Amino acid sequence: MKDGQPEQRNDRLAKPAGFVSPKTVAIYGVLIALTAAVTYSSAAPFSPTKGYFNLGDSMVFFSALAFGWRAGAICGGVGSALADILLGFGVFAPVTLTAKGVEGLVAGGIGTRKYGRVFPIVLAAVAGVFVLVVTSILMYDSGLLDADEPMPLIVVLIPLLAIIVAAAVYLVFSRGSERVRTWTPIALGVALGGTCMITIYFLGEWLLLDVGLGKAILEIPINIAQAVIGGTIGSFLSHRVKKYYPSLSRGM
Amino acid sequence: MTGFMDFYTPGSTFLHRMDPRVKILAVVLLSLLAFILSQLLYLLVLFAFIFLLLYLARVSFGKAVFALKFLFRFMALVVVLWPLFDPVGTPVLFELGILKVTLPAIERGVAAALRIGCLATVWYILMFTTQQRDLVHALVRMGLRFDFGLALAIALRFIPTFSYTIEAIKDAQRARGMELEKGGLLRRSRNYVAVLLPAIVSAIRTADTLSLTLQSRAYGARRDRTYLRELRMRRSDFVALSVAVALFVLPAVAKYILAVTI
Repeated sequence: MKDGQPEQRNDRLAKPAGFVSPKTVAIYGVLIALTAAVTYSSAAPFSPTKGYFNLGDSMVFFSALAFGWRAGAICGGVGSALADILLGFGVFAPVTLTAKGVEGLVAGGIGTRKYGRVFPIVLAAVAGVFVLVVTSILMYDSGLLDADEPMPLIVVLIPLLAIIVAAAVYLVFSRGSERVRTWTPIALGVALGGTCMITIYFLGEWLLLDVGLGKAILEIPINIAQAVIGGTIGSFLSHRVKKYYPSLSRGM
Repeated sequence: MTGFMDFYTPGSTFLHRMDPRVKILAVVLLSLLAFILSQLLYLLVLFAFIFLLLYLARVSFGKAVFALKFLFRFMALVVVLWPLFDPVGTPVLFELGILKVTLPAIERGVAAALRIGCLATVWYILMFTTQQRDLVHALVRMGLRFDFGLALAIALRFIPTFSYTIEAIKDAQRARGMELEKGGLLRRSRNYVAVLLPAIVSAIRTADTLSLTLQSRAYGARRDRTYLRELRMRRSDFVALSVAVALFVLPAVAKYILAVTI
């Protein structure tokens, strides 16, 4: 981008040469600080794993859902990592940076997009394949289904079940009320983002920090609680704030 | 939970005076070194070296204890838990049902704990001896985009402010009869929404003011911006840099080229 184009200088919210707009810088800075401060002041020690429970995830999800995936990734990741350092848990900071960053990125990427007609079809297909795979695995595992001689009934039944589930999902999300259509992507984004966070924490603690498998497993339930509670609060907050502050995410 | 908003301890040791870019590079190299080393003895030497640096940095005792308190508990936990979940090798020290504690497993646990200790301590030394604005400045000079550096600087400036805001909102809600410390996890979290919402509104107002301030001070008007305080490498900085590089390169060469077990 070239320096000093006159039409950009006159616009109050114009991007300055090469940099993101001042509003973006201010919002990002404030969101990083807010994420860190909320994590910091809501931290409650969790003795079994020497970790701590906090509501920082609600701010990660809030940043992601109110300002998009980039804000979610940067503000969630950096803010949570800073809080880790300030609370004396600096060992976790790199893992936190990645885990919360990906959490914000995924939640924002999925949760804030406007979905058209294709979305219910994709969702239905995913649900169908999921049912197909899970029921097949369960059947094989329980010995109901033999790999050598598949029972005709079950071979028909599983795809039929998958198709029914897919159709139900499609009907709910394409004919569903406005509320269902608003909240489904958000719930999906929060769920997938939370799953990413939990997985990265687990892998990071187990493989990168070398804390041993036991401690990494002990951390999973507390992370699930954090993701669920944080996701609920975060999506509620972003919904409210977007409703009463519609001008918020403009000019970024 | 109490902590420190800024770990920087004013001082004039050689670590304080060192160029922040050199410090960042040295810390990164020492962290990588901790990953290269796998023998218990060498990790112990590195750990001792890092604690010597911590001593030389003349950190305030309270801050050092706070920052490393969790680390030591964490290291102890790793040492205790490691053998339980990774019963490899011989000799077996004792067996108790399905529990089997072996000597190599304990050694590996101690090594893992020491590695974590090295990693965390060396980064805290950086934080103890460098002002936050110098850290951000150094990162910008090392290639971080200026606007993200500015966002980071703003964040570091506002973390204490927002913490106080949140505490004030908590007190205000308590005065209205809200019980934030009562009930289970779920109820407490739900009550916390009444703290988060005002905090967010207040933060967004701050952001609005900030963006106006940035514009009124001609943020981003020129790409070739100048700095009030310039970073300049001195001779001692080059010496420190070469020492740090040597500390990393020599073991790396020994391990990956000469195939020495270290």
